[in-house]
Amino acid sequence: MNPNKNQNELKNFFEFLTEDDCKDIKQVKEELISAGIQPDELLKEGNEIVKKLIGKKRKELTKVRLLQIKEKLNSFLQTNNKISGTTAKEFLLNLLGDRNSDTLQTSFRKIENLSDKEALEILNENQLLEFFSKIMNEEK
Amino acid sequence: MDEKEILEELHNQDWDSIILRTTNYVKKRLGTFELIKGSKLFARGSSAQDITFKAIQLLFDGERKWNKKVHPELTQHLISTVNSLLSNHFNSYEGVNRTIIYEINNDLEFESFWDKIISDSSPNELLEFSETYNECLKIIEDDLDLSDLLLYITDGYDRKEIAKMMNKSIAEIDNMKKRLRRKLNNELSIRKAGISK
Repeated sequence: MNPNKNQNELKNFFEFLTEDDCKDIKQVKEELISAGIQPDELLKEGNEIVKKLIGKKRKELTKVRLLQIKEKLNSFLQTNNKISGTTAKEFLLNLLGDRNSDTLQTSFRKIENLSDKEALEILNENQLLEFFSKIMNEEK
Repeated sequence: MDEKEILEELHNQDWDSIILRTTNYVKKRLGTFELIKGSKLFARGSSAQDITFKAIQLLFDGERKWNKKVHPELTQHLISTVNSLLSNHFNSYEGVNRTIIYEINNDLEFESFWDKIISDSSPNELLEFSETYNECLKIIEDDLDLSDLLLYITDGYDRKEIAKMMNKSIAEIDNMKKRLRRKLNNELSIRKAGISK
């Protein structure tokens, strides 16, 4: 036997030793415990981090979406001199996005049920952002 | 898929399983490194948990985007990130007075962790690695099947080729590989613990 394995063989050997072959969670937990890691504590800390990161990402996405809504409103108001209740509702529905989305059905109904007067009243920056902030919170 | 849908997909993952499996993987990698390099300083105070959480953070920050075509399972993606992080740890460990920085090289290949370590090792270290390998062959010398399996693995044959050469099914080879891996890791850990006493 050659006492000096070549580098490629050594790489294959160490890759093999550290390969991820354990998909059985019970066994993974046992291995972690034997390595001095308590699975329950690990999960508590890990899930807390994931929860925070998801929350942070959601806030970022909401901020970007509200900014886009604000820009679209300004453009809509600049290009339309006379706005009817129907046009206002159509604009709001378009802002919402994909009408086939299951998660947005409640929000679509909410806009469709607005009276013409209510739809027109929403067409100012503060009201519109408040309206969509509520919708986005409900989507979560 | 837009960012919102990606976030929802991440939200719906089985995080318990992902966190446990990734941390276990990191722990094993650190353990093997410690075994062959004989130093606990490699991770510079970072635990397996720290490295797992860093990989998760990079995923959400968008610095390491999950490509499902390359890694269908999220755990596989995180393991790939972990390998990049460990590779950076290694660079830091080898360098003098260098600070650990989590610079991620997205082009880094999954297998390059050991490539890097082996190519950066001194002739003496390579000799020690060879000795570890020979020690492993001794551990299983009474089991001809496991000995053959280890030789085929180190020669770079894949599981299908090995199954054909050993006249066994692929499932049998997979089980043998698991058995061989556990046996070697356990025996090497015990021997190392004995030496350090």
